[in-house]
Amino acid sequence: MERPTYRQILGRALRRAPSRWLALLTGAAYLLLYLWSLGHLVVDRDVVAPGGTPGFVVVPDWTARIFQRIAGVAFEPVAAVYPVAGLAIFLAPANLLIGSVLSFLIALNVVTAADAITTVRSCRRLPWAGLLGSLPGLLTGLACCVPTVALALGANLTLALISVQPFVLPVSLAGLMLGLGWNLHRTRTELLRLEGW
Amino acid sequence: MKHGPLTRRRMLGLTALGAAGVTAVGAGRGWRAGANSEQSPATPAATPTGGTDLAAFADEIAHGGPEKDGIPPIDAPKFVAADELDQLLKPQDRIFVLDYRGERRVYPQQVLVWHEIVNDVVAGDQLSVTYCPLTGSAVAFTGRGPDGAPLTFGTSGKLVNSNLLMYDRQTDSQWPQILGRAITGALTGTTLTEIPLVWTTWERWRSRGVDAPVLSAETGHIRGYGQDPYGSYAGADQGYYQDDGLFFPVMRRDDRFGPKEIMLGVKVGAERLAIPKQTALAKGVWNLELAGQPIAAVRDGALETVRVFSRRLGTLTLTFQLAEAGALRDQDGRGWRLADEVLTGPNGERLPVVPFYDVMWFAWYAFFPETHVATE
Repeated sequence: MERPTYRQILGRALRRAPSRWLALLTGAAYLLLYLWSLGHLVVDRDVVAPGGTPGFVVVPDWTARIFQRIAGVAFEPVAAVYPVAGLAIFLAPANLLIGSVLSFLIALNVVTAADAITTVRSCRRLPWAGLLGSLPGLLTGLACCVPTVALALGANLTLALISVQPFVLPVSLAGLMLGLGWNLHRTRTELLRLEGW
Repeated sequence: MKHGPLTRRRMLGLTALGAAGVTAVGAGRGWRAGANSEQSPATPAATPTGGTDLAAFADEIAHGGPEKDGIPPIDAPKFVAADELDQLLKPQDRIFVLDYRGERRVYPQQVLVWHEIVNDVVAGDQLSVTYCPLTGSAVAFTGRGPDGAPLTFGTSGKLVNSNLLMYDRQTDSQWPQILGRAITGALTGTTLTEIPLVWTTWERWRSRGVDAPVLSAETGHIRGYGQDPYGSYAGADQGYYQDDGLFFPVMRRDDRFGPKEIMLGVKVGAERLAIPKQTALAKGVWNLELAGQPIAAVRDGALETVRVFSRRLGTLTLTFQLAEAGALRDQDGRGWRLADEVLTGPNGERLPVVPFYDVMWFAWYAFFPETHVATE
């Protein structure tokens, strides 16, 4: 029997409708959480929209500032959407890309974890461990939002997190990739054992 | 939420409000030398003029998180009429009022908290308005580089004693805001000229009806204007501004006052003086002396703030006491009045302002442990 490829295992997982929806929701929720952690998703009735709501603002020299870093891997917002009063979404294309990649990897982790759980009977919880890789990604916005984080976590923890700032994105990406690979590997091994492929 | 080991002392003086007229008389020389109660023997004393002390400050530079200019200074400030800011600013929001060579401008804290520096031109002079939310200090500077050109400033993304570390665009020298002096780079040891910024609330300023341009939130940057990430100067939950905890380390601490208690920091020559602002407000007028200079902290009732003036008029040293309706009376019974930021005598005499700025106690002490402290 021909050994299944990881792509085939992934395709198999993606064809399962319930986990597909769960992955979509998880990925979308993570993207929103990521933008909030950066301060790019603001829910605050005190935030004022220049020109009122709904509104859309672009900074004058946006092309020159599109990759201008504010802190770590947080970039300068070059546009903002104010859909309703009290809600603002700041748009930094590089951070939208990073957030989307992380969210996509999280979605893949969810579908493969769900598939592994139904396939690999010996392990019910371990497949979700890959999602732990998503947590460091939420810290990418930390350095530009020190006050918020420090008030929430305390100064000492904040200082420690600032010191690991350069590593959070690579660690997050690596964690999610490892989680994905582990889920696919476990599922493939089990399928081969059960000769279910 | 409590972070630090320091306990916050009660704000002084509010209960003394009714007795202010009595206690103001003869309160001169009411300061005492600050004791270094918690200074580590290993930490060099930070006298304001010693060259080696600047190196000690340089050793204490800490990363605050943002990149250089990650907190972007405003280099092309736009000013609007006060009416246009009424949507952004709530009545209790703080503003900083600059009065420089006859020109008056208003800088909202809600805008400055996202930028910390405004490189502005006022009365034809290049001038940088600065605000550090972590140390509650706002002061304007002018300075010139080696070629005589005016300095403009950016944010380094670093801190000293939790205080904004600016850099100048001409030489890249680094300047802690509270020190007002370069601690690294080609301009090390150079001192900037300080211009006071007066804190008040938007409501009090609007009630004055003064037609002065106000810094707009159209800064060319996208930020959450209207939202202060550190907390609030008004309301029950003031966050960082009230909490005793600090976000970043400081060189030394002193618990004679709560760490966030607001002082008026005064510099005369090499001497430093901290005047507890709440006590000064309660007293109405406070006759003091620093480095042989007679000065007075005078309450500005209209803006509910305090200004510092010289008490020297020619060869005469004035001693003030409170008179009726917020007016002052000197030792010879002549009436003085604080109006439109000027302390004016019976014959139109004007007393010069002594540079001062509001600052949290912990930060002032961390830079100037030898500071004198005004006491009743």
